[in-house]
Amino acid sequence: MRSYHWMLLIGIALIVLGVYHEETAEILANAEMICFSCIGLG
Amino acid sequence: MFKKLIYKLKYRRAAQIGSLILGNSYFLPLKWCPTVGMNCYACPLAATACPIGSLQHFAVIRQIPYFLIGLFVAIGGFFGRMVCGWACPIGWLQEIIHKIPTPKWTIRWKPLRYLKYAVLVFLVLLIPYLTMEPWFSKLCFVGTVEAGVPLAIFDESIREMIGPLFYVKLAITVVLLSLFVFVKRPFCRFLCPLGAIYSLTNRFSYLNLQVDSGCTSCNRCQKVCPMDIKVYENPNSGECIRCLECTTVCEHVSLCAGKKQIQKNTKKGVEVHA
Repeated sequence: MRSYHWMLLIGIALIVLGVYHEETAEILANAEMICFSCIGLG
Repeated sequence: MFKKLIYKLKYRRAAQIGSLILGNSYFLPLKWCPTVGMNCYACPLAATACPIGSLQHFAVIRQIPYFLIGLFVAIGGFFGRMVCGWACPIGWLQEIIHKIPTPKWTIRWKPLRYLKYAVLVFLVLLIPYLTMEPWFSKLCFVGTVEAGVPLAIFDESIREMIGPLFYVKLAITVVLLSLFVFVKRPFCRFLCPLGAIYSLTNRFSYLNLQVDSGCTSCNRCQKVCPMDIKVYENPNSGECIRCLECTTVCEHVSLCAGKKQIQKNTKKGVEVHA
């Protein structure tokens, strides 16, 4: 296996882990809540 | 196998426009998914999340961003930094503004390239982790262009909240937008933390550039390169965004998938084998 095969494999494994990781899933589901803090108004 | 000529790389323009539309199609329920390029998710039209904003949010709440790291590794493993050249709206914005006919400045001081890694480590990860505040987003010019200014113009309640930080952001934005006129892609080359992440994957990615032994180091590639690099010195350097502009002027540079050549130059334009 070449390095890019490993990278794709590790990447997909981490994505799957992220989707099933309870806290990550909750944060991603509420991503819109993050937006307002990022505008940097004041 | 079929062959198709891409005159003046119109596919890249189409990919850049497509990415901009997809990332800002408000009706699409994709806020849970980070976009591949820089695109502020506070933008009133944004359909996707900003990958750097999300990464920083995880630093602030002190959680490991498995999903994001996976996305960066998988995209980087396949495309490398090609995303910057083909799918980033801010990269495209810089290219458009740079077309304004003025005298151009050449900045080739190599240590400046490392500034983007410092931005990634300190402004995106370390400082937000320690202060629990998203400091990169607070200063990010992408957010000012896409969200801060439009929201301040159209929403009175947001206008009332404007404080000194907004003027700092505005000043950074004006300086950068002015710089785009004179310097080739300065944000990508010197400041972009997302570019810093993808640049680490460039030498390992499936899609890569190859320069054959016929190269005469004539520097035609550097003249057309939006990142101002000598492609023949290191075709898979972290700075190359694989825009393929160099392949339109030189028949010795080609795009490869693994070790197989999938595109080579002709006298009329770029020829693609698929």
